[in-house]
Parts: sequence; C-alpha cells; structure tokens
Amino acid sequence: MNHRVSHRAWLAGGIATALLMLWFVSTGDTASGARLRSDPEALRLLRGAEGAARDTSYEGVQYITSWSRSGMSTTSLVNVAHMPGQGTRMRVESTTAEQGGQMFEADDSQQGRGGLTGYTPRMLDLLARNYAVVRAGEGQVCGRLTTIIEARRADGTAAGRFHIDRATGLMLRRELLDGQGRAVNLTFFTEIRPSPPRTTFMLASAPQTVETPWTHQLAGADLGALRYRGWPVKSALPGDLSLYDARQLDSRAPVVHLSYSDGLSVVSVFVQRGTLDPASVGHWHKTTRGGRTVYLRDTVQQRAVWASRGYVYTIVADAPPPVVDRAVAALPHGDTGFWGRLGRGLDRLTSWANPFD
Amino acid sequence: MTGHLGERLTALIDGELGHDEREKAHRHLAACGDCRAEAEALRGLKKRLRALNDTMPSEALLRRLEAMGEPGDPLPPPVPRLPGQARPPAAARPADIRPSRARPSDNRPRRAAAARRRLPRGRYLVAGAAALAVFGVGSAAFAAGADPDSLPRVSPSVEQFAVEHALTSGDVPLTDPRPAVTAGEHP
Repeated sequence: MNHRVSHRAWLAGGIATALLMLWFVSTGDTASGARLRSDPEALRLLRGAEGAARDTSYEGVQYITSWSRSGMSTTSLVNVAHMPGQGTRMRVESTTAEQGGQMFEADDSQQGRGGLTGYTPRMLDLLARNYAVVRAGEGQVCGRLTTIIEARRADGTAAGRFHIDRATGLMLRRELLDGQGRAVNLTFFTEIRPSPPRTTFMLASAPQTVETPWTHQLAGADLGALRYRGWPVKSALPGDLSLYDARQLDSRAPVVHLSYSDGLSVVSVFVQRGTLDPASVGHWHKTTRGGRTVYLRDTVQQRAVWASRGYVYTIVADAPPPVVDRAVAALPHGDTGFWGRLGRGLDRLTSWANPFD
Repeated sequence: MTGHLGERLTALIDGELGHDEREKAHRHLAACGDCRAEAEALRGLKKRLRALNDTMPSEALLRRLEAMGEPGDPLPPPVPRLPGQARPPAAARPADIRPSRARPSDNRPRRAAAARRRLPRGRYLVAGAAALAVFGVGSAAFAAGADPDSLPRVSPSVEQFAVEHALTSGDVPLTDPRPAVTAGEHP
C-alpha cells in the first residue's frame, strides 16, 4: 500500500513539473529562444531614423489615413516642422476631422516613440523581439530614394513596412498591415524639405491648441503602489503587447495612462476610478465582448470604453482590430453584484501577492 | 426364538425399551451369541462417545471464540519484531486467528464495508482544510472587493486621451472626424 502511494506521489509530481516547464516555455521569456531573426542593417536603419528625426531640420506635409474594421477610412493632412532642440510642431489641415487648424507640439524628449519619428532602443527591442525586421528592396517617396524595411510575422507576412530616406535617414513612409495584408494605418510625407523650417509661417498660423504629453511619468514603484491599491495595471496584454510607458497628467490626476506596444501596434489604456456615465458614449456603437457591454468607435483610431469593478477603461489604439479585441478581452470585465465584488477582491488579493503584474 | 434383535438392540442399549420388551431382549441375548456380541460393540462405542464428550470445551470458551469472529473488533496490537528477527509464521500472526469469512454487521456487501474501513482519516482532514481555505480566501476576497459607498460618475475625455495617445506614440494627434468620412480613400 505504501509503495503504491509513493508511486502515485512521484507520478503526480512528475506531471506537475512537466506542466510547469511547459508553462514556462510557452509563456516566459524563454520564448525568446524562438525569436525571429532580424537583419542587423535593417535594425540599424530604423535606429538611425530616430536620430535623424531628432537631429535634422525639416518641414513638410504628412498624409495620414486609417481604416476602420468596417472599411471606412479617415484621412488628414498635417503640416509638420521640426527644429533640433526646439521640438516638433504639427498643424492639422484635415479634411475629414471635426476640428481643423489644431496645433500640437512635442519637444525632443518625446521623439522616437513610433510614427515617422523612428524607434527608441526600447521600441526597437520590442519590434525585433516580436517580428523579423529585414530589408525588402528600394522605393521612392515624394521623389526621394528610400530603403524599404519590413517587419514580418512568423508566417512570413508583412505586419509593417517602412521607407527610410537614403539621403537623410528620415522615415518617410510607414504602413501598418493586418493579417490579410490590408493597410490599417498609413502615414507618409507628400512633401518634405530637409532644411530649417519657415518658423515665421508656423508661428504666424496662430495655434489654437498646444498639447504636450502628460508630465508625471510613473516608475515601477508607482505602478506597484497602484496595484496594491487595487488598480488594474497589467505589465502585458495579449498579442505580445508590453507595457512600455505609464503616466498621469500630474501626481494627483484621476486618470492613469498605460501604453502597450509590440513594436508596431500601440494600445493606450486609460484607467480612472468611477462608474461610466452612459450619456458620454451615447453615440458610440454598443456591443458585447465576453458577455459584457463595451462601447466601440473605430475612426481615427480604434477606441473602446467600458466600466468594470469600479473602474472605467478607455482604449485608444493604432492597431489591427483583432489586436484591440484581444486587449479588451484581457482587461477586467464584471458587474457590481456579488460575483463582481468577489472578482474585484480576488484581483486585489492577487495584486497584493504579486505587485509586479 | 427366531431372528435377532435388530433395531431393538440399539433401543435396549439406550434404555428406551419398556419392562416387558427389555426382559424379552435379555432372554434373547442369553441365547444368541451374535446379538450379544453386537450389544457389546454398541456399549463400547457409546462409552467412547461419552468419554469424548467429557473433553469438549466449556460453554464460556465457546462464547469467547464466537465473539472473536464478529466484524469490527479492534485488532490485537502488533508484536514488534526485533532487528534480525524473522517474520513470524502465518499461523502465529494475530490477525490470522480472525475468521476469514466474517460477515459485516450490516447487510452491505462485504467489499463496501471493507473499503469504508480502509478510508484514511487524513483524507478527511485534507478535504476539511481545503474547504476551510476556499472559504477563507472567498471571504477575504469579498471583503477586499468592497467599493466605497459612492463612486464618481465618469465621462471619459476621449479626445484628450487621443491627443495624449498620439503624443506618446509619436503619431500626429487627430480628433474624432465628422460622421461624413470618405470611404475607401487611398493616396
């Protein structure tokens, strides 16, 4: 009898160990062993684009188009001017946006986070970890010779395509593609002049709105404190989306902005305490995800709003719809009844036990 | 006198004949050597049987032996073996004095009753501890999941969020478009 029990115990232990190892292999960073192989020259060109966007004076016009899941597109024309050390100014001359003539600016510290401003080492690491970054021939953008770089999925299909100006190293065109090869987001220069911008023109355009990113960045300790207090701060979302930036408008602001990316798609999750006022999303498309009510709007970006367990979530994303759907599904959903309270409590207990996730 | 005593001889030995029948049997025995020899043999057999009856166990011993066959009695304590001592022979082991076909005290099949006796007490303890842990975690989660009495009603500033998203992602901030958008417009 004792011999039989001992045999069973060893068998159960062996199975548990095998399952644990399988879990580590399938979810842990050991998956990096299966990282896709990138072309070092392609990575160097992408990294150089970030430096070029920061160090080169230029002005031009950007053409930005995004497609919704229903196939509708939204297009904007934007005047862009950059002066090293002074930042970038963008003036939206949109034909389809509700408000034209808006003016935005970003200082040099905000360069290199995506778009046409190249890649920071952090974003480049995410890109190389999740995609094979390779050179894919030559091209032309507004009459300028470019090197084409593709970010390819494991199945070989292109998820992103970049044109790097051979003369200046600036990124002139960027395409984000879904699994079927359709463009989800397209940004490119229709004209560009790598020369000191006519600042008088830009300044004379009298900006109506000047925006800068929220200034209070949240470090690891801040995020741990938020988790301890029950805030749903996840370090990663499905689709290889990693948390790479977190901030608030100021230290006492009620909204936390969590930025996730896989190197191509960018998903912003805004979390605030409270319950959702239905009137604020009255004109949104009401649908269900996982049995819960979610309000969707996919025009300029993919957007989703819902409330769960005492928090209101707003997602703004430049990403294919399936990526956004998986992110929405991975974030908390629940009502305020018994099970909602139980689930919220379990979330808090888990965050207390593991403040790093 | 013709014939032999036959069945009456056994009755004579057992003292079951009447007076006249006994007299007649005795007269026959006096004259018949065969019946006399048979009567002697029967008397001898009866005497041996009586002697055997005197060595039977007492009633008290029989009751104790029967009581040992009842199911559910505690086993006698095991006899510790000294180092190097051989396993005692099967006949000497205490458990072997139990009847091998003892019936359970109720009417359940013998196998079920035996399985019930084999259930270890530790399993009940583990199950109880697990239930207690689940109840404890559930209670703690329910308490931790309590909301403040009043939560603010929120209208997300989506346009502000969109600008913040664009500025941190490196894209150009764009506001929500008018409903009339151009379908399928490509450069």
